[in-house]
Amino acid sequence: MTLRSLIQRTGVVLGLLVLAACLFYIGKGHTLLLDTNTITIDGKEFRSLPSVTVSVDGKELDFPMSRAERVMVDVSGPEHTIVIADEADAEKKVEKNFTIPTFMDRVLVSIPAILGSAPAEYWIAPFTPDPVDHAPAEKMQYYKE
Amino acid sequence: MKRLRLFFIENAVVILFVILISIAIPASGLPGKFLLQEILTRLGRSSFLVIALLLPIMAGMGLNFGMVLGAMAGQIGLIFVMDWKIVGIPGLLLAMLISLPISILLGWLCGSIMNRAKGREMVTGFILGFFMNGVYMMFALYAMGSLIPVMNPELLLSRGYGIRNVVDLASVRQTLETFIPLKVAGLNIPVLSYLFIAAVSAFIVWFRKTKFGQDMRAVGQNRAVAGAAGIAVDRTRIIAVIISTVLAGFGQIIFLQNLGTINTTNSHEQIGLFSIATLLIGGASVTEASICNALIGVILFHLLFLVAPMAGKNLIGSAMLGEYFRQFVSYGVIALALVLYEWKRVAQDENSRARLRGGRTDVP
Amino acid sequence: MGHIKRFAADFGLPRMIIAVYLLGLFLMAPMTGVSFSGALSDVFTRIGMNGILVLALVPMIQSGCGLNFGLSLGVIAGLLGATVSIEMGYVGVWGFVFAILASQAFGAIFGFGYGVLLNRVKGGEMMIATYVGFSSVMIMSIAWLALPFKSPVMIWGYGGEGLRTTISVEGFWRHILNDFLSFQLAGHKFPTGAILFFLLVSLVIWAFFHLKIGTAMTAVGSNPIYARASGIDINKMRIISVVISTMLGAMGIIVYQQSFGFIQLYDGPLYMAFPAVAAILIGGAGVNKASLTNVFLGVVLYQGILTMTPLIFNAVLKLDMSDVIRIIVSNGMILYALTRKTKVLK
Repeated sequence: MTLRSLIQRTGVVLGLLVLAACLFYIGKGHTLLLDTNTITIDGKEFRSLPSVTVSVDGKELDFPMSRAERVMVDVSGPEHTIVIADEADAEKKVEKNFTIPTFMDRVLVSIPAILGSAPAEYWIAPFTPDPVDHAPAEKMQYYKE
Repeated sequence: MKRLRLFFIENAVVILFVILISIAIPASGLPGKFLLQEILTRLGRSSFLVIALLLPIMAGMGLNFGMVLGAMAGQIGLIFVMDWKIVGIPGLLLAMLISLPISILLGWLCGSIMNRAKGREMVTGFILGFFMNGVYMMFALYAMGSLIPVMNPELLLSRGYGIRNVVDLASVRQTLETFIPLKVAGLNIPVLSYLFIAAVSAFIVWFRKTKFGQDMRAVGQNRAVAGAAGIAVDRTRIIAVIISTVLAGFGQIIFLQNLGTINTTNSHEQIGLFSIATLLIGGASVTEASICNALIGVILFHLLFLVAPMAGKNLIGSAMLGEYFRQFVSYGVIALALVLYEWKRVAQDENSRARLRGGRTDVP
Repeated sequence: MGHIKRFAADFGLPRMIIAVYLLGLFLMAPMTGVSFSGALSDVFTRIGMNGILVLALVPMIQSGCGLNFGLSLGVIAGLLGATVSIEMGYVGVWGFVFAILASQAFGAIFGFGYGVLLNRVKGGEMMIATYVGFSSVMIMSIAWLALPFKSPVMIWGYGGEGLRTTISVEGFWRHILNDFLSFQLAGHKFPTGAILFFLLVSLVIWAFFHLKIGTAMTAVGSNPIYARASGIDINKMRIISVVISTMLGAMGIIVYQQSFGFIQLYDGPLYMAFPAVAAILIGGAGVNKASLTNVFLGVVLYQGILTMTPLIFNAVLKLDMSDVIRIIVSNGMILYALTRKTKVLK
């Protein structure tokens, strides 16, 4: 194997690895949890409006969201746009772009934070499900016959 | 008149099939539009796999029963992509990329083993497929999740390691079909799938014209002569198998994304049988096959696939019968092609031996 | 030292590995709480069950027709014999004997046609055998649905048409061989009858190959030019070998069924050739040479592994990898045999 062909082959392999990384980056799927729960940042409370229509990347949700709701949306890729509008007054709307870190699987998006123009780092957070507490019935011991 | 007779003999299998199908379609009672849509979909889904078989035939290695190795590589790629939650077209492309090194490795293995069993490549590939199935199962059912980290525990079996029996491909399902939507006369046409098939066909056509392609054809026609002419026979054969395996991997990914689910243990099992039967039904032989054979084969084979159960039920009263008949046809057509191939080969050998003896065929 | 080296080279590395593996499994048995005598009884039962099927491969290998992947044809002949016997209502010893006789008749007919076909395709027998085998299983599946069987034991319930997929031979000739002269070995049954029958048939085959016709067959497989020069009709010998192979296969499946307890129709015979082929190859046979030693050694090793692996693995690792191991070992052995450099025969 000549040096030239070795360089060519290494180049191809590197190119493919870069391509794989790109595909990973642009294709990574995330589950967004749009959350209208009140959120407290630096002591200040951010509340959502009584009813908002939300669209992500141009696609609108089926139903408007009231306060203290969570809706799941599947997206792919790092860059996204969200438009939050007051259901009562469609003119009052907020349109923002946000970026999701590649390895964040499930993402909590705080609607009130975006509405209230809080600093961008509070808009999204990784979602950790609450630990499930087994109901007492499931903790019953079974007697061995 | 003689030309007509020759035409019938050369294309016996295709003609037989067309006759069978023309009886079965009306007998099944299935509507034409439904059949047409199904065929359009299946062309997009299965043709790539069948085309993957072309190069080893060109290289004189017969029907590549080892294509199942490529299918396994493709599945592994898809499993990883599902694990890492890469969606849509990027997901599919990434799956193909992941399958690439695995296919190359497996193809190299398959080719090397076939080289050690010259004259018996088909049986060897056949058994190698089964053998690799065992290795694949060890990988997918035992190593995944235990030795190989899996990000998404939902993919695993309840025992904590090993991939589930059924992997749902929801995030990449039907992406090729819907990416470029096209509806003609009420029929959905999977444009992107067809583009993939066009691309691989173009690749094959171009490949045939390159020097390497010519070398491969020379090896296919006569190993000894090709070797004497300075062609690296063994290496050429291995590369033919590697390309075939890689294409089979891509083809399996295309196939599965259309279906929408991976059956971890079964999805790849019948793929060799079906693809080979398809190619043969399209008029190919053990020594010669073209893209035309592949496409015609897909249409005919799948038409039979679709109508046999209903036709069996309507004609004879048992759908199972239609199903067994279809399987019999798949196996039978391969048996027939193999018999015809050996027949011709034996006749050729005896002919050349007779010539050496001065034309007498009654003396050994 | 040279003798040992030659023996090792002849025996082959894979076989050594397998033998050592099996020995290791047996040694581990008492340590893991697996009943040694129980395992032994299991192994012997399986040897009795599968032995004749492996034996059936010998004639075709010796005559140069290669590994009989189309053994399913013989199995089908046996299935026909068994179903006809049950249809007639024959039970017990007579039922078993009738099944075998009927199966031999079918086997001879099928074998003849099969042999004629193989003669026309010299060189490509193995692949064609496989697909002829598969195709015939499928035709028979259609036949099982259509043939006019009436016995209520066999047809689908509720007035359905065609035979059931699995037919129990309970009450007919289940375990008829296994129980014959059987005795208890440390609490487990030793299937004397089956083993004796296997040895008996092996003896017949051994005798056959020492007759003139047997040596002629061997010559056809190992040195066809010499055979032709000696005036042996190669084609006739090959057909006879295929017929014997098919008939033995038919006999073999009936012995298998009496031990297993069920007749498996439809898809059942599809892959039956492969374990038998793997067994004889593990026993040291090649693609064109097989001896009775290969058969015995092969059946013992193969069935030994098949029985012991799940027992030990389950006990030690709590892991059931037996299926996967079986696939890898069987097919690996066949691959090894296929890729060995043998003398080019034409």
